[in-house]
Amino acid sequence: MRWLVFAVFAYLALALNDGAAALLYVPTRLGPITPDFVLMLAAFIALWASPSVAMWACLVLGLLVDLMKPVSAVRGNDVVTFAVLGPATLGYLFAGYVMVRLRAVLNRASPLAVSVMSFAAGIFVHLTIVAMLALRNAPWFLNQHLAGWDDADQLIFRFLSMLYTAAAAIPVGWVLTRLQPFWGFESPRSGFLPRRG
Amino acid sequence: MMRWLFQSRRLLALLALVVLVLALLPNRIVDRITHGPSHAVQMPVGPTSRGIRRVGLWLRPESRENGSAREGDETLKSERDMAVLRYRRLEDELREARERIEQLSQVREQMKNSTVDLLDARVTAWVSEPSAATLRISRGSKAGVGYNMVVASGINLVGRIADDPGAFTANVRLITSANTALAVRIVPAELDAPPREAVATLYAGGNPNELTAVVPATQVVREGDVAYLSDDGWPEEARALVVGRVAGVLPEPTDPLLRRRVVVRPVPTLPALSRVIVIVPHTLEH
Repeated sequence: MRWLVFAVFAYLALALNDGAAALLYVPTRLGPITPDFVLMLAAFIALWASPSVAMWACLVLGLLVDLMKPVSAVRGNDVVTFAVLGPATLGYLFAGYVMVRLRAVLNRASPLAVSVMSFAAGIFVHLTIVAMLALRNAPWFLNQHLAGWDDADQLIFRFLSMLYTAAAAIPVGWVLTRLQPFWGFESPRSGFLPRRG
Repeated sequence: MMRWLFQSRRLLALLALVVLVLALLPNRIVDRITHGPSHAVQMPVGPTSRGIRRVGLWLRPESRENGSAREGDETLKSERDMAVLRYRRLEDELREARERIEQLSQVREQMKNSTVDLLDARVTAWVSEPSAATLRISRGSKAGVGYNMVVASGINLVGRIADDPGAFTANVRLITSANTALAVRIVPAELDAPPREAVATLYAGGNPNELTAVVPATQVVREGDVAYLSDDGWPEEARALVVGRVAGVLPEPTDPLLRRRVVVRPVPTLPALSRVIVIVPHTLEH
């Protein structure tokens, strides 16, 4: 895989995650949900890259997501916001491992594959994030007082977000699959899209 | 070397272990470790996400704060009306409570002395999380932005700077974020309405676009009333900024005869703001 191409797409995915929210948000009771372009990118890479490269790419993407998405915690009478390094990084790493195992059963040239993979990856990413942050918040463990944290709300909100991401991954997956030759994936089967008919 | 590095599963496992340890460190240490890298990542993404955001707001008019030029005029008009309303309320208070004139004069004098700078900032991103609704802005410590500074849109309160800002970016914690409690005074919106005032503490939670308060049934609050900040915990320059308008007054389910639940919605759509004003006190200016 060409890491420069990866860097460009990762940058675009992060910018879209932040910028496209104003256009693509869907209001819900727990707050507006938006599609996760980084998750789609991770799913696409996991479909095409060699296993170790896919894992490294997922690690980097998770790290970037952790640094971009702050959490809020109660400190004295104040609420402070900061990035927690780890929850998304580990989530993307687990998801990367699962996706690499899962891709054998998917037709990766199909845009639907990115959608299915995004959903599958989302389960692991979000469960890990919620578990890690819940651990931080748990009074019997770290007791770090995350502001307004509710496990059930988080799980519902993230599940809805996953559904939206999977739906949005169909057109995005189609575009990414068309651009696949630029990535220079190393797998012998991945250089070109399979011929149809 | 690079090939070995990127193919080494052991290194990957070791890094995962390091990250796991980092994820379980106390908040203060995590904040120190991630503060620099976090803003270093956010800064270069800002210009592109701002561009995408502008296109998004243009394509989705209902999420725009001003919508169109005509709507912009209406917003300005309503802001002017509310400014006049605030002025009238202060005047009424002065007229009705003569014994407090001296005290209010002193307060006004103090307001004159405590001048502030208004710093215009572009919104580069909106991070939607049930536990932390934040806006990211394109101004940071280089422009004089500091922790806990007040952020407004016109005369409407938006939130506060949520952390020690980076050099060129800062996160704004919205007033509708969970764990927010705001002391407000609720007054009629109409200029010719008889003067009345209710005091309440608004709490965020439940619906992410609303704040709610429980008030005694004896306090008169009506739909459309304006809630403005009177919270001692906020800086002086934030007081009298508009928190929102009353969107509903319902009986409190646990005590319907004696209490009422007041629902307040911020006037601008906070997640759709494209520009905000950071109120920088002179004493904190760099």
